[in-house]
Amino acid sequence: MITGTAHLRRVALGVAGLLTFLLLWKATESFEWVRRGTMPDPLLVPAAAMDELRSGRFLPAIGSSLIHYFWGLGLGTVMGFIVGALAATIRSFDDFQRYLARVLRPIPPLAWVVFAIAWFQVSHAGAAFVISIGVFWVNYFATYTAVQNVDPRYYELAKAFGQGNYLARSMKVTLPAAMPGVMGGVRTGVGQAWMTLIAAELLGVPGLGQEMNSAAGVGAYEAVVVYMLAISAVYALSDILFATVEGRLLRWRP
Amino acid sequence: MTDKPVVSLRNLSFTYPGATSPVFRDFSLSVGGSEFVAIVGGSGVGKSTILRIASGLIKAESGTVEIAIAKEPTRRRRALVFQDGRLMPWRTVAQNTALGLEGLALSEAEKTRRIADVLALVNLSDMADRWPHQLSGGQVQRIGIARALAVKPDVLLMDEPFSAVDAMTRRHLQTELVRIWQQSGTAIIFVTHDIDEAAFLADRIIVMGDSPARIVNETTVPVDRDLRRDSQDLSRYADSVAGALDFQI
Ligand SMILES: Nc1ncnc2c1ncn2[C@@H]1O[C@H](COP(=O)(O)OP(=O)(O)OP(=O)(O)O)[C@@H](O)[C@H]1O
Ligand SMILES: [Mg+2]
Repeated sequence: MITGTAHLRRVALGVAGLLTFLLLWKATESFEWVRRGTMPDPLLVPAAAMDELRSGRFLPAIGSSLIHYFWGLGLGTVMGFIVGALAATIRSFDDFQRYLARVLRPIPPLAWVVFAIAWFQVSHAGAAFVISIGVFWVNYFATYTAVQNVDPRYYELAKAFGQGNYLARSMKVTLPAAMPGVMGGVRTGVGQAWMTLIAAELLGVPGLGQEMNSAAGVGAYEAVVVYMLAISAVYALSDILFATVEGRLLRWRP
Repeated sequence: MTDKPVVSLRNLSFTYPGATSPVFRDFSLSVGGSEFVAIVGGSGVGKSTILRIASGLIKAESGTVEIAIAKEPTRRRRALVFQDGRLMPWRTVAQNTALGLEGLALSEAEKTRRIADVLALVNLSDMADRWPHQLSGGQVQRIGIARALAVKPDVLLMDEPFSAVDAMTRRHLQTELVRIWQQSGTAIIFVTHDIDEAAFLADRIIVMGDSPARIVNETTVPVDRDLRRDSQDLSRYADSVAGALDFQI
């Protein structure tokens, strides 16, 4: 049990950590510990945020990024789960995809940007495509491993009570038993998608990453910080959303 | 055993993959329509393996398993109570109990009623909505029993079902099991380490010896059911079984 005062203490320490960071940051800027003009002033960030909001570019950039994010994440997650689950449960399909996965797996998602631009031009689809590749592999491996590690005693149990066919096994044992591992993959994908997204947008697709890039181009470092914080906020929101869904699905766990 | 056998294991041979010697060779056992048979024997002789073959989970290399009863859409012919209880952690107690009912030709109301009945039987009605990780080892075993009873099996295969329950509950469950067995007319094969338990429950006690597993002794217990709990006679049969076991070990 966390008592009232213990809880307060932990919150206070967390706030102290944030303040220390801000102080160090401000000191670095004031005492010019790095080259002059390259360190944003934390005190000017709120004003920069207002400017960005008024400029009418901030919200569309977030909207654009969210479109990439949801399509890329959704597609990558669903495909990774399906392919991973099939490979782990059907021997011949596993053999069929084995070498292909070996060849494609090491290619970083960003290496696909070249083709994304060639095939989709600079578009939402291109960004979603690049994001989905990274997410796909994360979910593919998480699902594959989780399904392979299902305790065979549960299959035996299902069979003893008349639930032995592929469909019943899949729905009554494989899916629920693998769910914690699958969810671990989804959660990693939620984070990984953001990383790839910003990187893909830095390469030219409209969104937070691109805005950040163009702000940096004119030396508006406070604006860059505004976009960084926006990324952090949207990520935190998606993580909370995910944790809620996960908690609901895995409510049986101790 | 006067009635016609309902389960016949004939000349079973079985070797686990990778093992050098067979668990058994030419093993045979018949159990009558409403007979209660107990199997006792040392650890590792092959008692659980026999139940796994009898329940159809694994196939013997040779020999046959015959269940002389027609399939019915509202019950299963065989049900197994696992030695380790074995609940699905992602299902509540009630959902675990329902496992064998899924796919049977029963209305939802009938399923709900059966679940309530068997949970009441093992004294766990108030735990229907709990998750398995919230149960004690003995409670897990009792749910395993309830799950098997719910399908109204013609043959009930029980693998040390009371090994983790306390002495009080154990007595209660033994009495209940006899009552259920008398009412339902199901055949029971009951594996146990406890000779007194075997003598209290069974019509016939089979002592198994190993390498390869075989029946080394069979004792019939002709003591009247109503007199068993305090019968002096019962201990005589228990002693005879213990003698056979000692000889074995
Ligand atoms: N999956 C398996 N693979 C290989 N050998 C096994 C396997 N399961 C059991 N055995 C072996 O087969 C023999 C019989 O095992 P079984 O579980 O039937 O014994 P048991 O009589 O039920 O023992 P206990 O009273 O300890 O439960 C043992 O020697 C055991 O080591
Ligand atoms: Mg055993």
